[in-house]
Amino acid sequence: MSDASVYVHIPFCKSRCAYCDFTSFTSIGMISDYTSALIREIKKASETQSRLRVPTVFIGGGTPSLLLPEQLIQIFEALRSGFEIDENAEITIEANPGTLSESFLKAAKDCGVNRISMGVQAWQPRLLEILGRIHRQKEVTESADLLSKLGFDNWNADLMMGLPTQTTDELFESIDVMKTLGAKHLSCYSLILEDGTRLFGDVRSGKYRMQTDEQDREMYRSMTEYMGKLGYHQYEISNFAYPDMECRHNLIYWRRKPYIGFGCAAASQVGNRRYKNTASLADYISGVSAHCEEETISVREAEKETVMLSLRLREGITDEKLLKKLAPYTKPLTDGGFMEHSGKALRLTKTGMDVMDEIIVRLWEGLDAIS
Amino acid sequence: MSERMDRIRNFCIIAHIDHGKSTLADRLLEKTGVFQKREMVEQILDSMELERERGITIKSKAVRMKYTAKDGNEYILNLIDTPGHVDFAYEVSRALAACEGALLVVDATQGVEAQTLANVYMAFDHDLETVPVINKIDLPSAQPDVVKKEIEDVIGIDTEDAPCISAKNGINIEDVLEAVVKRVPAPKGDADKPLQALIFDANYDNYRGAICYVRIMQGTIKAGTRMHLMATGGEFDVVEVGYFEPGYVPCEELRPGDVGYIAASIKDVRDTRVGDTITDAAAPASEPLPGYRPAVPMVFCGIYPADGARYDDLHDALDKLHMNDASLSFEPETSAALGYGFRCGFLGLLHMEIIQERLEREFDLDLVTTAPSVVYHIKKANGEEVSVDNPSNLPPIGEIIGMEEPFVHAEIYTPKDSVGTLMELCKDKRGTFIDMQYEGSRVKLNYELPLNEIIFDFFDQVKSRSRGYASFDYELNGYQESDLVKLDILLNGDVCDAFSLIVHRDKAYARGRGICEKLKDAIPRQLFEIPIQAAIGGKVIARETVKAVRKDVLAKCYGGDITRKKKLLEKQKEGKKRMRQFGTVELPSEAFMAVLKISDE
Repeated sequence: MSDASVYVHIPFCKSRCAYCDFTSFTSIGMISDYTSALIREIKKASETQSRLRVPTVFIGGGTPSLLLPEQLIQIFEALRSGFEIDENAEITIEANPGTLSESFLKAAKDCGVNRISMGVQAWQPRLLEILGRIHRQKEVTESADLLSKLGFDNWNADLMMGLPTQTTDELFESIDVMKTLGAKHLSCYSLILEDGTRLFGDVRSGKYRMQTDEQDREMYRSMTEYMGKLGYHQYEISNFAYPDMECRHNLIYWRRKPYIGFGCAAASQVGNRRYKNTASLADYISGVSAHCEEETISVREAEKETVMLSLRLREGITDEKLLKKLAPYTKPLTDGGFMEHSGKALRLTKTGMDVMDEIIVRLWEGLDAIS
Repeated sequence: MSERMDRIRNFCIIAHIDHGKSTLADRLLEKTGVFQKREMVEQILDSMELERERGITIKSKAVRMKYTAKDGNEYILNLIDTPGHVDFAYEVSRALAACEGALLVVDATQGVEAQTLANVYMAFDHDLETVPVINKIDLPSAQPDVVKKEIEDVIGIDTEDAPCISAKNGINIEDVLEAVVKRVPAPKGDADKPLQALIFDANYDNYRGAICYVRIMQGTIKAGTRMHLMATGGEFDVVEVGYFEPGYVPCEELRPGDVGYIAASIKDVRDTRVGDTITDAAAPASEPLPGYRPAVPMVFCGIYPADGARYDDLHDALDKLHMNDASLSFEPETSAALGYGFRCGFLGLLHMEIIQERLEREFDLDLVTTAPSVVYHIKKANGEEVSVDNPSNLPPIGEIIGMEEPFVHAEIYTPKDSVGTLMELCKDKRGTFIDMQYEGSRVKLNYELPLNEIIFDFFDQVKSRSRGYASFDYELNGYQESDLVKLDILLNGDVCDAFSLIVHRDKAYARGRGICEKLKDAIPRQLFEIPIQAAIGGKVIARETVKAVRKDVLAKCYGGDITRKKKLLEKQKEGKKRMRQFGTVELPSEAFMAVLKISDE
């Protein structure tokens, strides 16, 4: 039996955040039809291929906590009847503070969900306002209390840094609060200004000013140090966890292991193929559209992806054959202090992380030169 | 005078930009049946894509029309279309010398403009009968009578019978043709005298070689004539003569007053210099026609292929363009930063831009060009004198005892209200005021200016400061001693030759600072910090730094993001391919372009 992780996308949100350019819809009335379409897709997939063993499940969004408890249950029924979900599988569901209800969490518990990822982003109301987040501080603490009450010990908080007007102390405060509330895992991403978002307009009009790259990097360095002090060890460029609390599902992506995505705009990677579902909600629900952006990944492409993804990880590039090929090109980078050996593996140094894209491109050029 | 010559009219059209010169030409061609309406494209004489797009004429062209006038006779009307920019002032003057008359097109809503005046004076210089034509009379704001009066007051030509037309809508076009017949004098010239044919342009044809566009002043020429070029000394056997209709249409012979072409299997377009006189080798004229001037490149720059592997393609392309344009010069050069390329010489900045654009469009080349330079005269301590058109070739400072730079005599025609700002501009560009003359509501400013100041953005500045009203013409006016320095740009501590400039000492600081600032934005952040310095003879006068960080690394990269992220990185990788490696620094083409757009402010 072969392995594949499962991702289920719930592309609905109560309102759109100011910085977000992901596929998400505010037409909450369509969730019921969407759930039916999801279940249809899951069933069809499980019928057309041999039974898969599933080490991790991730219900992401959007805001999956907008699902009704019975919708969540139906989805898991379909998953469990179609796939062999490991007994000790990591099963995560994303939630936004303020949308988490006790009944939902209970249903999640019944479904076997054992990890919650909360979109907190920042603790300070001023910053939440800039981001266009609709939750309040009280809702964050209430959600955390609820998690603890229902025994969800393993939970993550998403935080953001490099926000307009944000200070390093404020970022530390957000981290402190999450620690106090019991988060075992924190992810902390820099704000990226995406064209067409509301925040993009706010910045262009001069309402807000983005942090300079230098300020952002400075904040990043302080942040990683602080995380370490608090016991959250960095295992990926933007992800931190207590020991053994890393997100196993996301590691599947970064280690280029197979995954199947269900839902509108969800991506799958099985064998040497990667494809996406339609990003049109109407097409997805009516079931008319086939996979799009389908690509077959050559051995060379796979190597490039391994470089691109492994360098995000603290463990670095571990594939020995690949390391051998890259050796002539990594040498100047280790000499320059951008990469370092860790046992047999090769990883980015702190300096290297600031220029990761450039390093990836250089190693790719090396791979191109070999062929 | 022969009846044949009596039925010929040679004329050109002069106008301020946008007053309807090309549209009127189109109408005349249509009216005389050269083209059927359905065959017409706009600006038919501007056949180059670039000419149509920019609304300018780059090469002179001619077309022969047949028109039966109201007097019942059929006339041959030769329209010679001329370029309209100072870079090509010489070419224009030769085209005008081939005519007896000029149609002066004036916009009925705008009246006489600065450029109108400049053109009129050029026509007067060539003793052309100038026929005013009032265009755009169908526009609601047209004031033909006011404009007529203005023409009489400002220019001093009679407008009583001036045709009032709309070229766009084909109104009263026939009046224009009648005016040409009635007012433009018939050509003169004795068929029995020794041949004198004026070359007003040349074009390269793959089958027939370089083809001379000529106006026969006296004598005759036909296939088989052994022709002699009086300035370049070349001799060729004429293969074919003919007219432009507007394609090449062969005829028996060309006679005095005719405008046509001569093909003589001339391999090298350099043998057919604009302004040269063709005569009969067997019975040569004693004197060439007046006004010949060899084309002298005034502005030089390095042109390099963005992709070094396309050097040969660039070479071929320059060869081909040169076939049609003897005023373009080029020779190979190498640069530490840019690799193999060519040092190219041009008549002026527009000419340079046009060549660059044609290379990119017609030959699909991506180019990197260096900052334009002029030719400097260097006096060395050992008594030697050298000319330098590339700052990198400047002898070591210690060997130099003096430097001279070329100056021009500049004439700027401008409305009164822009005089102040234009004088400021000239002062800023190290100009010396000579005098100014009031001509009606216009002012003619005379300045002496260093050529190296006007090759940058002077023309654009003149236009923008006068809101498009001022016109500018210049001619080279010798060399003068000047306090010049070589400004070097150092990247990561090494002089990057492609950025070196020769500038006046007073301008060096501002220019150096400007370049460093531009480069800071144009050079992408790289693994290392890159210091950018401007220096004069080892002394650093400005400094900027490209920081070594980027932040795009922090974008999320989950399952659904891999393809997008990979594409972005692939793009970054492709971008690097087009970058120049200079030591450890990677330079994008934009960096070289950015430096070209520096002003002193």
